[in-house]
Amino acid sequence: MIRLEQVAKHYVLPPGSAAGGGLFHAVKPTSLTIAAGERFGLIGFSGAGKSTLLRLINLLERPSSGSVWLDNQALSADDPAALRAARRQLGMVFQHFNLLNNRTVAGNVALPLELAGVDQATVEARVTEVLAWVGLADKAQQYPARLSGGQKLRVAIARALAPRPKVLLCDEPTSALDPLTAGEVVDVLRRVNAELGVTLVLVSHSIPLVRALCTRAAVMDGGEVIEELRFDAGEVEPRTEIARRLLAASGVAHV
Amino acid sequence: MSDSWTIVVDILPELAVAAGQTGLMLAISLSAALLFGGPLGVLLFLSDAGQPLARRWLFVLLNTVVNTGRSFPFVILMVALVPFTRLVAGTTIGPVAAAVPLSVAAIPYFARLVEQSLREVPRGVVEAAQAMGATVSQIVFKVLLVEARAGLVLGFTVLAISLLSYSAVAGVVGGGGIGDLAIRYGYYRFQTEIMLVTVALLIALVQVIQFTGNRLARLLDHR
Repeated sequence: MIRLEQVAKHYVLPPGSAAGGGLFHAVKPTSLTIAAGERFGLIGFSGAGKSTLLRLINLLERPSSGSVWLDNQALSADDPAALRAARRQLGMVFQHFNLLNNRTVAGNVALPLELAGVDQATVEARVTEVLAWVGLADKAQQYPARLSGGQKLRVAIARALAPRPKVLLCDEPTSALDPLTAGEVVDVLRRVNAELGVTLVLVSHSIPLVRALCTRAAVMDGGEVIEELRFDAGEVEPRTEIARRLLAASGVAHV
Repeated sequence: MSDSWTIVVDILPELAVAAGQTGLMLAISLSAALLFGGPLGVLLFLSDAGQPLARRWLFVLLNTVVNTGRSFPFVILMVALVPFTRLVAGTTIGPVAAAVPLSVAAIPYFARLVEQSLREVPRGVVEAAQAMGATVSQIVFKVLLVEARAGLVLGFTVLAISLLSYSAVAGVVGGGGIGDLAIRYGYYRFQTEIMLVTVALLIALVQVIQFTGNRLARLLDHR
């Protein structure tokens, strides 16, 4: 479904900067394959490059080298129309939700459909359906500023799901939420995968979240994938120090 | 006291005409600002580094045009534009002619205000639209202008008040309007009453414009 081939991202540092110029390698050449229907995690400490790698999948970050494939089609910024079509298959949920404050909840969920040129009646029906599905039918006419963090996240999920994407990319979705609310969101995301068959790609530094949601995760450090963990095959036995520390930091090193 | 009263009453018909001229100057120049300054400001924003249409040469060009337009003191701009005004309006006297330099001043001014308002829209919101597959024009009309609308209204309010002040200057060189009246009677003929009445009227106008702008912005803002 999603295939990254030697994808890398670097930034050119200005000569006058603290690092004294040169290149900053946010993501070193990385290859990954994520199967249809999979629940895949990207974990690591802050600055490991996991968010950048996620954003490379829908080309919010342009790869410095390498290629991104979705269903055997290479994504390229050189073909804007094809990229826009591909992005409709790749829903995204952001850390800070990024809802439009001047649109109602229904207006936010309708936005991707409006952008795709879907007719008004179909938009309304779909918005009602998807809001009911995330349990926010009664909030349709509210503005985001009046919602709690958990509700905002569910609006963001509904908005991403409205155009029926094949993949949902989630960038630290629960980091702004309290643990109880985060737990509810885990249920919603699990249903996204189980009931709708949507492939999940989840970036998080929260091991409990990734364990609860994902079958497989790539551990990142210094812009590289250093280890792959499986959560569906009994005990997790980390090989690298970073993975051990990540598991220890969340208090489940010996589970 | 009764003399002052007579002076004020006698001037009222002329004051009404002057207010109409000021209104006409503002209507023309504000329309020009919306029509040309708005798109210019949007393009200025979009062409900056990191924005959807990032093009260094275009940004430098537009930025220079806007800065140059805003560099002229209005009096100088008005005089410098006399040949252009004659070409466009057919005359250099009257409110329509005065609206030409007012518009030329208003366009880059509003462009800058629009650019600033668009910068207030969180980057992540634009990214979210891009991730949904939005085109650049969809990002402008469905995201940027919607999210920035309260700031745009307030910017337009600032512009309207500045132009009201500029229009008084335009009056001095034959543009007419409230400022012209204040100069002719209040200053040249030492009729302080008329000066006071015109200043009071301008104060009231500024209050009304600002109040309306604030109210509208609050209605449109759901942050």
